[in-house]
Amino acid sequence: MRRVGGMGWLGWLIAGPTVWAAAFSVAYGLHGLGCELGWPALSLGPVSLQRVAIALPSLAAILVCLVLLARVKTALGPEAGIPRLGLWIGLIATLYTMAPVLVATSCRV
Amino acid sequence: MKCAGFATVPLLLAGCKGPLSTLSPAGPIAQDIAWLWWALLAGAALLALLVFVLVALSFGRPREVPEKRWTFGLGVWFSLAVLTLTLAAALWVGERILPHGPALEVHAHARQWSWTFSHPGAQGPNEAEGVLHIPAGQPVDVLITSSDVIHSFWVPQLGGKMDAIPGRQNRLRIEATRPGTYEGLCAEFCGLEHASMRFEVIAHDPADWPPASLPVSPPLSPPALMEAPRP
Repeated sequence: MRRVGGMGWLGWLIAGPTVWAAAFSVAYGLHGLGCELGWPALSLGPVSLQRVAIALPSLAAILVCLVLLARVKTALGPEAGIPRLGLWIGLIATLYTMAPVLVATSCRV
Repeated sequence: MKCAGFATVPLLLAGCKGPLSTLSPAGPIAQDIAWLWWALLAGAALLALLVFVLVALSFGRPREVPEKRWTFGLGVWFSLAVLTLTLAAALWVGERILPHGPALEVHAHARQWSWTFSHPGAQGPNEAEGVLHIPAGQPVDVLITSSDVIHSFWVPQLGGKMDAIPGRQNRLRIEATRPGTYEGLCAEFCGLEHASMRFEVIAHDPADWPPASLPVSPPLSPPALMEAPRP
């Protein structure tokens, strides 16, 4: 069990926002790349490759947050409170920032 | 001191009017943008009010503070609700002002430090320095290019702004409800003479479009077209 203030505990504490930031940066980069390479015109079933490419990093981030939420209590015991809050913040921030991606026009004409 | 503070209000409000004000729209696209500005201002005012109330309370006597109301009710859910509503408003306006559907196309080519415009005329395409002619009452797509550095095309009363990037062609939709003359400018710092990189947009009565009095000239010169190859 990691003690409060230790490096391991700190890692758990910033895990949620870090996962969100990583997913956001990857989605941002793929968005520009997709617009340049014409991904909005390529279909993957009912949606475009562009939308899938931008949504995938966020879905991966949500999965990572859920897995960490399931393990945080085991890893930190009674010190899991604030790191758990951080993971919820990462999860909700990812959902919040991903939502417009699913509905908004992706590239300018 | 208080009077001096109030005296500055009319001065500040004076900035809301004028030919380069976003808050003085002259077309449906600029109207949408102005509406979004007011919505964002209202959201910011609500959040600022919450902070001011908290600061004011902190000067009072120490008291029991219900965490559920202040931390979660106002601190988290109220703030999140305001941000969500303003985000939804921004997405809604952003979608509305995109160039969907057919529109008249004109060209705007930027260079340090002037604009060349090309648009349809009565006897063929016309090219003009510093003046863009458009019909009023219908959407117009401006195809924006640059031959040197990044500039930005902006007519605050008619629409949003769009960068002019060397090697690219960007598209911006504008519209004037009524005939008139509107001012435009470069909205991206582009060098020493950036501030003087102004232009005019003349919106003509649709019955007089395309205007017969404009001089006929060839379309954009070959070098300019070569610098703007990609749609």
